[in-house]
Amino acid sequence: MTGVVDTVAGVLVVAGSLLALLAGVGLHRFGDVFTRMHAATKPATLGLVFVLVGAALRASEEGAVMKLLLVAALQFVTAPSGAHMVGRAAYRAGVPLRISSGVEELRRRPAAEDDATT
Amino acid sequence: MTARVSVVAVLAAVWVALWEDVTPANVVSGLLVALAVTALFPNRPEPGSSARLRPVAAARLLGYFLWKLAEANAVVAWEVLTPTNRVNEGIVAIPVRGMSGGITTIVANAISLTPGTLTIDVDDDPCVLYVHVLHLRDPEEVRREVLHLEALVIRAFGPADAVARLGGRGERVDLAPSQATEATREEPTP
Repeated sequence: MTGVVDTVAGVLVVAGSLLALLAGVGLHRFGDVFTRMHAATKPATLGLVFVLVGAALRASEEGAVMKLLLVAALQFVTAPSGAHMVGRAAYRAGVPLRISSGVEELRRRPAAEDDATT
Repeated sequence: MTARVSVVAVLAAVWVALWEDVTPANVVSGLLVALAVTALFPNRPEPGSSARLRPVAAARLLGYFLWKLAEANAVVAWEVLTPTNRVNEGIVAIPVRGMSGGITTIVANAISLTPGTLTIDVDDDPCVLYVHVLHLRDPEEVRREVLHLEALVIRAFGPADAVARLGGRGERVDLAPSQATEATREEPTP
């Protein structure tokens, strides 16, 4: 029985790590701040959840599980908030970004940098 | 008052989780610390917000959210791993109902964790979320999806009168016309 639990825990930890790796590759491959934030938030969050569940399965005491739950809850609050702040700051600072669809309904870019948005 | 009770309860739970053990000493010290923290940093009550928790609606929201989180990961993984570039970025303005700061916060954060969307700015009054979309096909589709998400959040945590205003199924409720036109401003013709 512990063999099965150990296997599941191992698979989850490896899967979570692969998602974290994917986030890293995405940061490298994507072209501007916003698309990189997409890569950094989603796989990193789910990857962490996988690793935490894997760790919880292997944890010997319930106390550790409580702490792991706390880590997951804080990740769900902080990851999107962080991405939001980075994206907003980049937008307002006029960091070059691509709007390939042409749909831009925020329209608050600093005027001097407007040519960099396309 | 009830708001402070729930804040104290959550803070004490965090304290106990950090100690990794539920003992009377941990619970009591956690409550004392939570009371001290809430006394030192009183939180301004939001006017007109009487938040509550409806377990069934919250479970539906959680299920929807977890499914969308998995979908978001598949989308990003596909985009990262395949050499072709199907990225079609855009920034979409979404006028939401904006019942309360707390609900808008939950919606904005959930958007950032669901497929291909990332909240980058928020307007207050009228409440508008600005969302960066990775694979933009139709801005209306994005708006519909976010309003559906907001309806789920209101059903889970919103005050009773807000839920009543959602109507029967509440997922396609239109905004007051004035608010919608003001928020979407002059659409640029593509």
